[in-house]
Amino acid sequence: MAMKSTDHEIASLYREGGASGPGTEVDREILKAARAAVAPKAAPSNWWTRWRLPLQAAATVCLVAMLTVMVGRHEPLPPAVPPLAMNQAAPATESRAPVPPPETAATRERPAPPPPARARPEAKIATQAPATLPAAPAPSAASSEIASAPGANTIAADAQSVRSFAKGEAEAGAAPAAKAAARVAAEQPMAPRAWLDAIQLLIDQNRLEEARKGLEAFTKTYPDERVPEGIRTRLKRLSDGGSGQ
Amino acid sequence: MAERLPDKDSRTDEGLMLAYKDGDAAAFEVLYGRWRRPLFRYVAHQCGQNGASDELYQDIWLRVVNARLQYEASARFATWLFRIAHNRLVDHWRASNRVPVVDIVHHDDEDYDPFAALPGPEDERPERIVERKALAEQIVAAVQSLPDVQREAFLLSEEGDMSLEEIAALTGVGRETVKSRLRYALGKLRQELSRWR
Repeated sequence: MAMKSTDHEIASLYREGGASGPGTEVDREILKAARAAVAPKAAPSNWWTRWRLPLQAAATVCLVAMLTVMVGRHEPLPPAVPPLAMNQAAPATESRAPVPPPETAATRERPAPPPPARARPEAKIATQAPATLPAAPAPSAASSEIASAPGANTIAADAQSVRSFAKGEAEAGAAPAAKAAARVAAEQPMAPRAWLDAIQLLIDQNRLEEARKGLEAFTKTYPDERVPEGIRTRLKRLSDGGSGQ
Repeated sequence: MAERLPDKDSRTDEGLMLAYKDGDAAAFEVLYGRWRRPLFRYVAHQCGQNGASDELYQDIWLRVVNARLQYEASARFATWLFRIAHNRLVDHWRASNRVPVVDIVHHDDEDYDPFAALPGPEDERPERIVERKALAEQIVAAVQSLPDVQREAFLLSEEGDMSLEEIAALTGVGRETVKSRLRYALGKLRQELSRWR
């Protein structure tokens, strides 16, 4: 029961004056939101909604399987005559059909330029064959290509500076984080985000009792702030004797 | 004591909130009916800005709805509700860089009669009603002109039906400080009342 210190007459006069309550529109909006929050999720209404995802998944699987089979079927046999030899064997067209440059990861991805219309069919096959060969991924080739690309030194330098910056930040951030954790341990209120981060830090340091007390104080001070599920779960798991990871 | 509309539900506020947490929307409606007026008056008298109070009031209830899963009946529902309202108001003031509340204009002229402009009463009863209504409005205006901390203590006591200890816990000060704030607030309100009599 509340200890009433207010003067009775003042209290009754105060209640008679001033705002009487919110408008009906505000009431309606709040109640609508409250009902919607606990309403069960509506069931899918038609067969398409129900089967859409399974059908999409099945179609994707079929497509992938078909492509795999097709690619396997078109795996070229080792040519009896190497493409280069074939090209040499057709000097009449050689001057018109440009010899493809040595294949690289980059050129593999680019479509082969269309051969001249007057080139013989054999020559077409010979010039296109290297482009249609299934190419295994070549990360080393790609990376060497990036390394040799113009501006690669700048990119590498940027990456290095980002890494060193992040390292520096982490080192610089460690001290404030420890201070925040100490404040949580002392149950001093803080801004919600910083408070939760500090609790997380306490959990990471296995200071479970302080973390639990900090969480209790947090929920008391900020009852409507959402506590990340990870914090609750880890705290519970750790206190049950698990690893917490 | 906060003025709450009577309802036929025998459950406590805490029981209703727990029922709502479990998905009972009807429980929320009962709870809302009990606390809509006190909370609105708390917000309106704290906020003191037309238009903003509706928005804040609605936002506070939406926060209650969204925080329902975190509710635990370890404290009174009213304390939990007004804690959310208090935090929301603090955010609002911070965002709007609120200026200090100025004092209401007092008519120090002794010849001034606040009721002179009112039509003459037909009989005693309507006159008393009008007088009382005017006094009530003056008291509300006086409440709104109280210093922030005193007004908050008064409103939490009146609208939230909260004890000194609960107000102290919510506002982060000692019990004696709250008691002192309430005493000052009531002193000023009494002074205002006697001025109009």
